Amino acid sequence: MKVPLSWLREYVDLVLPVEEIARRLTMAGTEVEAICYIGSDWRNIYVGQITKLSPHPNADRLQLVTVDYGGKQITVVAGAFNIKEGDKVPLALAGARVIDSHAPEPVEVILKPTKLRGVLSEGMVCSAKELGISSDHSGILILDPDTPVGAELREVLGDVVFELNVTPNRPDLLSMIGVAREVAALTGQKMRVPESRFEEIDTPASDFIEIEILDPDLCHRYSATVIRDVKIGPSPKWMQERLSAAGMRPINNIVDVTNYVMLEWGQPLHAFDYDLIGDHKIIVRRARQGEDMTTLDGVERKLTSDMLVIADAKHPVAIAGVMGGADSEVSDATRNILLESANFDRVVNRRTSHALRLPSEASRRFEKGLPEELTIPAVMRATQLMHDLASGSVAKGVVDNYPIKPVPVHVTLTTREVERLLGVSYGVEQIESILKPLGFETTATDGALDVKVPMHRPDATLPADLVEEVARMVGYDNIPTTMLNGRLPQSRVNESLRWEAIARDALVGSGFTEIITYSLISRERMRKLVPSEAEGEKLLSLADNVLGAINSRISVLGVHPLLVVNPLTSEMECLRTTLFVNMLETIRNNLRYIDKDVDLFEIGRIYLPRGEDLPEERRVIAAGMSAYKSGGDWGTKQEASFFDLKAAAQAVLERMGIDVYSFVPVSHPTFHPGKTAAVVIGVDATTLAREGVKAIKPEQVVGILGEVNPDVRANFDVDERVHLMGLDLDSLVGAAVWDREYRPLPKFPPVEQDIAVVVGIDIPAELVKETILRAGGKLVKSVDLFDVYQGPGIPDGKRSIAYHLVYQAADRTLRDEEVSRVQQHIESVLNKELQATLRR
Amino acid sequence: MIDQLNKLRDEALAELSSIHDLGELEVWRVKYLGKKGALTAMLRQLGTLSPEERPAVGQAANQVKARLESQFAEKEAELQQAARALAMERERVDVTLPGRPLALGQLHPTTRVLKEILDAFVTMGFQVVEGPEVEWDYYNFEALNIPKDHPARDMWDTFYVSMDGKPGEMLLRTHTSPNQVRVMEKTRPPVRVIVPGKCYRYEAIDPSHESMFYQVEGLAIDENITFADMKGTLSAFARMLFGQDRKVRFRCDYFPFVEPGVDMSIDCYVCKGAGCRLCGSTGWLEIMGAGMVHPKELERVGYDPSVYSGFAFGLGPERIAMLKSGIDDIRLFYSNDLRFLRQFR
Repeated sequence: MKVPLSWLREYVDLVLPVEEIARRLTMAGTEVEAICYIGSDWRNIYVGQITKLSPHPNADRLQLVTVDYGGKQITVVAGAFNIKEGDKVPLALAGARVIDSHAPEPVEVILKPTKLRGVLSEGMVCSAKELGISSDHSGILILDPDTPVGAELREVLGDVVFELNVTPNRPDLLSMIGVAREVAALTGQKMRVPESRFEEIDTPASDFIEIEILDPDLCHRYSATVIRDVKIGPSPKWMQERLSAAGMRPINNIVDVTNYVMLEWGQPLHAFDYDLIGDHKIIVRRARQGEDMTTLDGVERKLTSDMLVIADAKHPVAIAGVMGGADSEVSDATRNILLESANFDRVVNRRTSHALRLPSEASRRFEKGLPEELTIPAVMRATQLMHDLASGSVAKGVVDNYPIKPVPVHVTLTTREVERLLGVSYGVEQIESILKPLGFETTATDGALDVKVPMHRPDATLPADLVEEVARMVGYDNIPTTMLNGRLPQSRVNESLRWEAIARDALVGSGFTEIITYSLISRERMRKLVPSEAEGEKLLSLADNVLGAINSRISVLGVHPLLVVNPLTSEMECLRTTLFVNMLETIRNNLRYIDKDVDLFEIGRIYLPRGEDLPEERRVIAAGMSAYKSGGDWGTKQEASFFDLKAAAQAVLERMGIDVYSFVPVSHPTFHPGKTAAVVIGVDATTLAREGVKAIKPEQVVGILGEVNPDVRANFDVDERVHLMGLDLDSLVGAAVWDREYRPLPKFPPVEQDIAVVVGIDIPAELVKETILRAGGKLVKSVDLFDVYQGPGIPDGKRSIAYHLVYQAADRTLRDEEVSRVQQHIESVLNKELQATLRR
Repeated sequence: MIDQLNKLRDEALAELSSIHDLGELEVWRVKYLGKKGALTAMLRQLGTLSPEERPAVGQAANQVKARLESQFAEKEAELQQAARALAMERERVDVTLPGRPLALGQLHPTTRVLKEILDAFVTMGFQVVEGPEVEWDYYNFEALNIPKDHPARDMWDTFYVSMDGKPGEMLLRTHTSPNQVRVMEKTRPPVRVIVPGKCYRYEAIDPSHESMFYQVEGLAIDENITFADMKGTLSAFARMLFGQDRKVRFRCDYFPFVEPGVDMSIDCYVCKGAGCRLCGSTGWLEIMGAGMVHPKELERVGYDPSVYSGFAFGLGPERIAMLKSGIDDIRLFYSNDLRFLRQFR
């Protein structure tokens, strides 16, 4: 809402500096987003009067304008022809700053004497755009005939305009009178409301028109009158200037009056050409399904039965509170006016303007709910102005159809309530003195106030609303500041956030950088994770095996994701069911600039549809690793492998206190078939070896990691090997253990032994290790792999695996014989169970 | 013989003083103190002396021996020290060479600032909870006094999620405020929670607008919680994050689910309130919206608004991070360019 202070002054004296007024408005809830000082930079611009117009000797599209500006004469060249001798116009002389109206973007230029087609122009007559007042460049700005010639333009046209950010609860501030009331209350001034006095003819308005409201639930009041024999023409300059300054385009005296009164009172009005209203009858009713009409903007609108129209005996003539119809529009030929000042239901108004995509100044006000009482002062004021400015003769009285009268709202406010909510006490008189200037009527009865809410403040219905009035008028900064000192809720640790932070730490500690990506994605982008449709469908058919578990909780492919009804782009049409797409895309994007260590992780949600319910939002960890890592030395790099990412997975598991886990080879379409493992918790390699994957319950599958399938990589335009990991964080949290069991530090020395065994290549290393541990019994403290070898010296189909064993007893120093006895037993068990032979 | 001893001592000491390395020192030791050394040879001659001479000469010999041994030890220590110093000098490195590459992971700047924000409120007794990102219209709007067709809905441009049969019911939450209602539905006062999470708005993206961003919601409800308490809590927070000498400003603002409503700003630390580009020449930087929880919202969850009161607030971590780090484009956060992310180690 643009508020020119020159206009505002009509209703309230502005006794403080404008910046202070702006500050008080802002602090009290109506932010002054900008203060525009119109004319503050006008120098060498005067009010001139045109004394002579003559043709340009060399150009038809230019003319010579001789201007008097206080006894001095100057001739300038102009390209506009909307001026005549005697007009008063802004005259800019050399040195003036004006806006270059021909530049694509507004730029300020300093005016210099210039030859235009051979004639020297020592100044210019300006359009509103050139002065920076508005974007109007249709012609020279013609000033009010009363403007003193020779005056500095700044003195007569300079103004300050506030741009107010009016919050939706305060439609009263979408009017000069409302803003004046607020300013008056904030600055301790009285406000003035213009009175409307005019002569009426003897014939009552009800002889000219009949008003019928068929749907009183949607039209609470319809007030109208008739102004006859108006002379259509431009409105006076002062009105045009005010409308322009407030951001509205002047049209003609009738339309301008309706807009002017809307800006003044906040009540939208509509003027019909009385003679084009069939049977001079207004019927307010719901539109008929399929009914159509052409609105003022020339567009034919299809109406629906949930819209409200103003109709004459036959057809709709306006969409109530949204836009008038072209058929009954006021034109130059109009003689008689039917002036509407009505109150429409805000919900229907809003739905209609949204459905028709017709936001207007009128619906901006109606949709917020206007008081029914406003129709009369507004219709009176507009009638007076049409009487004065368009020489209309006014029918007697107003036809006022007012089916539903609101009951005045009373609120009881106690000083105790004010204190309870604000934490500071105010006396009854103090509260009254705050509320009264805002229009509230108060009656005090021991410690309590009966407050009658004025019609312009329908937002205030509860004591809390009045407490806000008190607080904002006192000034929030003047309310004391105290610390909370009451009871605390029962303490609870947020387990899932705690573990999330621990998992994050583990990954950061493993060298990964956290990313956070968009949850919105497209089906097309998710499909890239599966090399072919057939494989995607196969995934879905997997019910309760390992792959099925992965596809139901970690990277869910092939399902119908939740779609956004109104996506910003087709790339962001649905909610993701996997984090892998964003991970691969982010790695690709970063590889454009960085050639190694693009090692990323994300902890985010995937959204799994649950029919009529809100989706399941599962928290998933994704990590991705580019092909190269920094080497040990400066500037070198080395290839990253499956085992680097596996180490990160183990770091997460172990930091979460999950000791029993296995990595099981799986084949998943997103991944490289030979370098992919499912992460399984609660199952050890021995059980797996004994029982196979049947031993794995679906809920024990918590992740997948491996190298990305080259075809999938290609889909994402990633040129180098990438490894990916997904972990089901929610399941990990369920299994995580914080407390650790202490084991006493050894008191007796360890004995260290190495063992290298040759086993079939299909024997998992983890099984060899577990077998050693089991066979070794409690004397074996640790088994660490230090070498894996395949090649000359080892039979085909076999490999050598070497471990470093530490033997230690809690109660004695081990003797060599004891150790070699255990080691022999280990060897024989390895041989028996895994057909392993010792490598000598 | 005593003279011979003294002479030997003087020779030996003179020689010792010119020795500069441990090798020469060993030669010296063998020469004088070794089994076949000069002093040893002289000591052997003691037996040839008469019993009368023997004590005096013996004593002198022992003194010479002790002297030479102690001088030797001193010299040896000195030379060893010098040798170590030399060895270390040879090992001198250029300490300005870069550190060896170490895989350094790091948190996302949003995670960093969220931690800072949450920690601040946790110290004031708030508990961290979370809620769903895909929400019902009821929680996102209606329970917050924003019925369908309310003009305040224009304050939140919303992504709706398609659902058969119930259009316009499921949406991506536009703020974390639904959790005020969700938390109160599940618990009884006292309530003191803080709720971080992703939010979404159907919004054209530019340097200051994102379609996805985080928000942190806070809620404190009990008997006798006042506007003054809200001011105190939020001021304490602002000073924890932005410095103890920050000025804090509270102005009236409108959110349908609070009454009175508040907008909190801190004084612009760039221009100190004088007005600059960062603060849009107002001298103030908006930090969060807040207010006393609306009585209708309390009533809806079964809290008696004449007994219980409290405040709620919501703030944007990205904005806080942008202010603290001078980031001028919110789009940098979720485009995940490592050249940006690595600035927040």
